[in-house]
Amino acid sequence: MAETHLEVYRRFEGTLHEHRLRAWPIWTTGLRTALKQRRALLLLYLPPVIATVIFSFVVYLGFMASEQLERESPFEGLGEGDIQERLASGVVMGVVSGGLKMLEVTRQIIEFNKAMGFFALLAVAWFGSGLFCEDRKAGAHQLYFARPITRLDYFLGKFGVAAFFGLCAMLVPPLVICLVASISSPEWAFLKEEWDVIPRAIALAFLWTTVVTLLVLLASSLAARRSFALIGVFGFFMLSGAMSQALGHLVSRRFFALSLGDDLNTLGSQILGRSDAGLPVSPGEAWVAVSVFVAFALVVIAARLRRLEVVA
Amino acid sequence: MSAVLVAEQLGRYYGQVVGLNDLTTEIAGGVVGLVGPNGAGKSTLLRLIAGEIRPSRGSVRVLGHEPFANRELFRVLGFCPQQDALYEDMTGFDIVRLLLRLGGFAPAEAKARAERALERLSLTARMHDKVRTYSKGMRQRVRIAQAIAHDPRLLVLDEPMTGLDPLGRREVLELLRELGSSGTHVLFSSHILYEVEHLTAEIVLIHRGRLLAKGALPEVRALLSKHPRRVELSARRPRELARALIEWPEVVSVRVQPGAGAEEHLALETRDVGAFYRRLTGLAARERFGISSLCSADASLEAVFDYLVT
Amino acid sequence: MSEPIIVLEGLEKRYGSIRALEGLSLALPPGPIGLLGPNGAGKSTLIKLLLGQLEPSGGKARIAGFDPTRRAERLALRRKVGYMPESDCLIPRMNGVELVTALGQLTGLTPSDAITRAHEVLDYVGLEEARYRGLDEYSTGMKQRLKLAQALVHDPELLLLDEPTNGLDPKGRKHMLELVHDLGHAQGKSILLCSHLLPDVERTCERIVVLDKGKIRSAGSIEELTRNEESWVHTEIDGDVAAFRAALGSAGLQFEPEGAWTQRVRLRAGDYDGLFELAARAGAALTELTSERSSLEEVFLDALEDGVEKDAAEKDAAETVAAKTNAEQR
Repeated sequence: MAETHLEVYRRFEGTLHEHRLRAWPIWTTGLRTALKQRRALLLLYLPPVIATVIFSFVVYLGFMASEQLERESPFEGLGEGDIQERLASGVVMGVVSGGLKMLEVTRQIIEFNKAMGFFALLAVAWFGSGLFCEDRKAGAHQLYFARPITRLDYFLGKFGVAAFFGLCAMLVPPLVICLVASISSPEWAFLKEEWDVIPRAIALAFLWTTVVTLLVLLASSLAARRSFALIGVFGFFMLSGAMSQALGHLVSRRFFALSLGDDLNTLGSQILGRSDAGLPVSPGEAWVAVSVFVAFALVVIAARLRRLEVVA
Repeated sequence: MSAVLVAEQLGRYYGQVVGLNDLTTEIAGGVVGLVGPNGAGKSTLLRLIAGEIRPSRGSVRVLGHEPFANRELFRVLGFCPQQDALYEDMTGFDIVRLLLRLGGFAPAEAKARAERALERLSLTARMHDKVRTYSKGMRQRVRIAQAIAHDPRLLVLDEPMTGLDPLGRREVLELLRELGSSGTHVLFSSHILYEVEHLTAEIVLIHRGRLLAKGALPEVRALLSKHPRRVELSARRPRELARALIEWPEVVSVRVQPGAGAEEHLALETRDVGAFYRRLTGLAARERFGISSLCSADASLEAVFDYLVT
Repeated sequence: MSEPIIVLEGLEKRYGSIRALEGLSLALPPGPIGLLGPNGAGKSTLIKLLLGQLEPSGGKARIAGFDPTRRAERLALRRKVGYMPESDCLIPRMNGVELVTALGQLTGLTPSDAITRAHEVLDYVGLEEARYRGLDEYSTGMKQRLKLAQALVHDPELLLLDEPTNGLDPKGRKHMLELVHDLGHAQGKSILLCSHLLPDVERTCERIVVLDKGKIRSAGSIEELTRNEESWVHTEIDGDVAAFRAALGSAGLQFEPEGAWTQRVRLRAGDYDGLFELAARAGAALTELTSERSSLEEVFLDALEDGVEKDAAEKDAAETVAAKTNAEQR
């Protein structure tokens, strides 16, 4: 049967679904556009990837070596073959394995995890600093807030985008290394003896990412341009660090808690189960300071987003 | 009387990009509307006339002056640019006064003229507020005010009605009409063709940097003889009338078009519009078709624009 | 008559002491409606209230049957409404299809529906290859078409179009108006069109609402508002004008010369044929004959003027009352 379809506009016959998670489409589309920045991805993630690979390798080697050492005494079979060569490889293995008793592996994973925090900050700052201010500059908020979403959904979607990049840098490397350590440790010894490193690392990754993402979004909601937001984020770290140093030394040790970096450091050590006496901020103060910061950031962001929807 | 504007092989290029290409024309004066699509070169032409940019080739003379960087010309020419660039922290009054002072007026004179110009644009009430607090329409009016404050002989305006609400548009149209009838030459560009038509029949149409048409609208239309003229009419008995009309040699085509409700209109094309109207008048008088409206559908600037800009 | 698409009952909005909207009451039937008013009349405020972006200070509004002040209904309402903002707006780092698709998904289309609809509406607005290009390369005309496309992606019942022809050249403007007209007439959408260009409204809308200083000054169908009770026609003559005018005079018809060739004539009982007879007898040809209607511009300006007078009268009345009470107190 012949048909013609000359209608210029076809109605939509399907139904509009209400997403249970209304922030989901904001998150997925936001992520997709962010992932277009290939060069930035490469630059930001190449160092953590390299570090992870090297470190996994070191962990692997360490377990291999200690296993071998246990199996054969280094001086067994001396006299057969080249003594010098034997000695040399024994020394290498000794050096590698010397620092890699089980506890040492854990300690290094913890240090590594904390070091990754810096990369997470860089990634979140890069991908998160434009989320609000570029939307405002381009007028995207007018399009978003004509859609069935609330300001909370908008915030959650954007938060998810920025946090994703933080977690990529903060969560994936320790998990990879723990995996390597579990597999290469003799008879899953790592998993049996040090399993609690994994939940601790996850908890730290979430805490760190949340706080850093909030800081970046706070800057983005206040700044007129992305570059200003970037400056704001790093400026905040530096200024708060300098102020805490000055006031901490001159007035009271309590002021050390002003430095967000030191607070997070303290919390990181506590979460990872290592009380470090060398840190300037006590865990209690750090928790208070970080909570106050989070609350402050949420209030300010809420106010700025309200302005974005209502005043425009 | 010598022409207000003489352009000879006038061209302006931005690198390889053409702004205006080989324009040769003379504009006698009066109120003239400059029309053309986006990117046609309207702003380039107006900026060349105002002396803001230097021609890449050819020459332009405005009121007998070479416009580029010519201080003499500034005394007789007022320019209202399209760019929304004003000093945000100055008041509207200060901007107009400052520009008058820079134009060489004594302080008292500048103050009086600034007040008068702002009053003509109904800005008196807000003229001492900072520009940053102004709406789009008020900023536009400040730009126009600074262009007319020194009573120029030629006023050049680039899209002067942009951003204005209906009241503002009407005021500016009235102002331009007034200036035109008091002997100021006005050259303005606009996208809103019926406003141009409302103000003047004299048009300059450019497209892709070239001059497409210049002159009084009916004359321009008459030159486009290869396009048959369209006439629309409504009558009590449209189909009967259509049967009669299609027999005439001057009628090229007749179409019956649905109107509001059950009503029908006729749209026809004719090669000789004069003969057609004479014959129609006779027929309507004899046969009493009840023709209740009759108008030419394409003498308008919009129709001319459509024919020329493809 | 069908259910009204927009109902306002004493809708008010105050910002501190400033009253942006003062008790608007109105019921608008489906179909294309023009919202007119000078700058600062409260049009933007009204649109924000209709979208539920602002909370009213008083009164009620129902759009497509939903109350924008309640969260669940506000979200449902935004599925029924498409909004085309006035100013430039785009989502950074997206191309045309991505933008429309993303916003479609936000409105509740599944990802596959969203991409289908995005191409459908982009075809409709005539955005061809440009849809794959980055938005920073778009011309004004393309941006306007994209803005319309994103408002249409979820096939809403009501479109809020804020100055859709802004910045367009004559061709672009004509195309945009054709789209708006088609949406309002052939596609049966309800439209609230804000425009400073009254002929745009006249061409695309059936009704208008005139807003000024936060009050409704006039509302009704354009047809009725511009109807002129007196039957004056506008005529243009080719040939012997003097003879034609003399013939009008001797036939006892009232007329006023306008230009060299044009005159207004007062007709008796719609006797158009008589006019042609007079012209034929005078040896002239009628080249134009149009019924005179008051233009939308006149209607608009009259509405504003009436409003100003009414305000002044109310103020006087209020002052008189105040003076009286003062006097009584003394």
